[in-house]
Amino acid sequence: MLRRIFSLTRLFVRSAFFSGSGQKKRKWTRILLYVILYGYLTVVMGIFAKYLLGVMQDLRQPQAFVTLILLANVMLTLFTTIISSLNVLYFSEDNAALLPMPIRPMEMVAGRLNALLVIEYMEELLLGAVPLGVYAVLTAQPWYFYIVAILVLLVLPIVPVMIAALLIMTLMSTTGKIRNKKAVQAVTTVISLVLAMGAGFLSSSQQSEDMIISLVRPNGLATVLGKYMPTVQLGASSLNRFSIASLLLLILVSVLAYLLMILFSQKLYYKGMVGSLFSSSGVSKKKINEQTAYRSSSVASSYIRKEIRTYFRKPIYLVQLVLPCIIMPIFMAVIFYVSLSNAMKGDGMSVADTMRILYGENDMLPIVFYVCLMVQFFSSMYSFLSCVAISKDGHDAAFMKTIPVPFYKQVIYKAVPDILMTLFIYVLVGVLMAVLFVVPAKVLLCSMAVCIPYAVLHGFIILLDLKNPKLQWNNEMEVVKNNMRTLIPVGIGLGNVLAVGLCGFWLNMSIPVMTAVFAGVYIVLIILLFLYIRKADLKLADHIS
Amino acid sequence: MIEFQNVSKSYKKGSKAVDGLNMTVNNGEIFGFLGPNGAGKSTTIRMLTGILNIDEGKILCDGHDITAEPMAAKRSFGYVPDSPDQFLSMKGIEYLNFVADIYDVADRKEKIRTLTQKFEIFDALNNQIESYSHGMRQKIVICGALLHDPDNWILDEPMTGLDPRSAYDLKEMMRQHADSGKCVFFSTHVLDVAEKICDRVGIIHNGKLLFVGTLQEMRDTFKENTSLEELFLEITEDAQTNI
Repeated sequence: MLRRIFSLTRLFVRSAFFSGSGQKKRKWTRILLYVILYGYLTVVMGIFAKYLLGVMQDLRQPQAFVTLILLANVMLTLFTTIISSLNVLYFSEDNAALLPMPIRPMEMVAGRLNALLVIEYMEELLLGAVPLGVYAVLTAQPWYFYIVAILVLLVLPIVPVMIAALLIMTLMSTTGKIRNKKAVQAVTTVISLVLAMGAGFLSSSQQSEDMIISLVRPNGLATVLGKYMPTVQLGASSLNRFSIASLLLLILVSVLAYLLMILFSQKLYYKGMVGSLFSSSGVSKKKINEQTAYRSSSVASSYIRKEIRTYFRKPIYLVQLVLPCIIMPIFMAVIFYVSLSNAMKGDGMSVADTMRILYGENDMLPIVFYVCLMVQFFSSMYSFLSCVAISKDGHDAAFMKTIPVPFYKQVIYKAVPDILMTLFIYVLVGVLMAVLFVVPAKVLLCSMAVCIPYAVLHGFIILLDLKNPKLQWNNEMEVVKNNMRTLIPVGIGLGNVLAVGLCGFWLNMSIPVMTAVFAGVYIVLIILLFLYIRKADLKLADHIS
Repeated sequence: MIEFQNVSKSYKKGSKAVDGLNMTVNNGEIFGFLGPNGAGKSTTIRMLTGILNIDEGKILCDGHDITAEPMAAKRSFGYVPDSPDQFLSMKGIEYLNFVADIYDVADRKEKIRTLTQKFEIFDALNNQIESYSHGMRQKIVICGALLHDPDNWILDEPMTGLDPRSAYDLKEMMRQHADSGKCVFFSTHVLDVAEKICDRVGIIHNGKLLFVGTLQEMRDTFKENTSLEELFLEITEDAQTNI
């Protein structure tokens, strides 16, 4: 049984990760590129961790750093598992092939859950191991800290993964009754995310008063933050106080959660899996409207509409690429606003009033501008459309080379949805900042003057997908999940945040100067890249065949 | 008219997928391109349609070089690929409108109605292609390829998945198109179909063109009173023996 579980886990992990074109020649080049990208993100993450640890140490709350990192990993695991579990659990191509085989339900469920865990470990490597490593080095932790950290990071994702999987399984068990399984796929993810965000929202509104009080005590914040999730408290206790009891309890709770899930979720899982395999895709009996059906458009508008339809009509792309752009900025803004609002309750002032006083001081305006820009760039890290603009078409990509439309134009048309999505994020974040934090209009206008050209530049990430498109896939999930290219917007976003930080807090650039410099650099890059793709034209398509 | 002038393509050193292909598909004929699996048929068609770069030689479509004048060459043909699973998230009518916009098709309403009613998929146009059966997907792709009334039809295994009625209609359309002085170039594994409708055939094996000509010329050269299937097997077996 264990051997079968291991084989299934390996199969599901391979299905979840993209297999690539199998060309050995480029394999090592790709691996090297990924190592470099991961290395770069590790460095950036390390710098952030060091900065955050410094802030915590200034507040006499260094141990809260550990708790915060563990909490962030758990919350991220919860959200990302909700998004990825639909495909790993239900919409993998191998489901129809595996069902007739003599595989015990327990083995199938264990294999699937293990695959989800492996996926989360990949993210934890960057967001958990790196910051804890920085903490360990900078605070001169003993050797056994590293061992405890590895154990904690291994077991910590188990409970949130089980919670997310259970949520999805419960909702998906209704698919047998629903005709349109694609709508179920998208709606299930949205419902799960809303439920998870709601829990986080409630929790933050209740705990923020405790948080303010805890700041008075050295390392008091660590205790309060741990209350958000019991396993976080146990993990933090294991690392901060080297509590063997906490570590053992954490391992016990996690293993119990895992075993209970495997033992009792089989029926729930199979109900949803069979239901999703055999429900119809919602065929409409409506005929076309003869008056409006035969509209002619320009090639550009027709092409861009086609691209946008693919992102919205394929549930995997909608959930993995579009929804995060909308949900994450709103979620972060609302959580932060509510926490701030609760913290200010005691003073009898609203967030807006406090912010207005802050903005009234002249020397604060540039800082507000820097923060606005940093938040804008940080939010655009979730815009991945260009990273997969070619790969998402799979075999259809060859169509681009057979039609009488210049290839460079098609590349631009394919980049437009990403540009629009990134612009949408900036406008959304701008509106949230204006409404919730009453950021002055001139600051927002200057930040948009920087963000608009950056949004256009962001679209050119498509060139990286063109360099090595992943066209051989069986499942859309292979395109988006564990596609290391989706780390590129993260890297670029973080790089921009760092650049703003350097230019603002270190070089003390004024608002007009920073606006002109950043916008100018982006515009020059746009022109150069446009000239490049126009000249290269069909050569860009060399890897599409 | 389609001309292949000494066309070669290699995927790896020392091994040519297509080797020195010289062939002309004339206007007014249906040309069947035959060969076993891995012979180089798909590679040839992909070079013809611009999907693959040509290593050596030239391919001309109505006199336009696919490498030097890609836009003009691509306007002159309609291509049906071997896999009909294209643009599954689009509705049938959206796909046809999209193709009509690409090729700037005039009278699109009339053409869409005519083609889709002929293939009996008009009533399904408001559904996503993903909900279509394999045969319906094949039909919508054929409709898309023929929508702009190209002079040259390039069809890769077009009969796969078609019901008998639709297969018959497509063969009739191919015949009418060729009779009107235009050209049809199609690849198939179904030798019966090739035998019935092709004016000339070309047989490719291991990247080399073994024979090009009419069925009668093939019988005269190799064996009399035999079917295309028997001739094909003999030709390709001889070629295999000579390797």
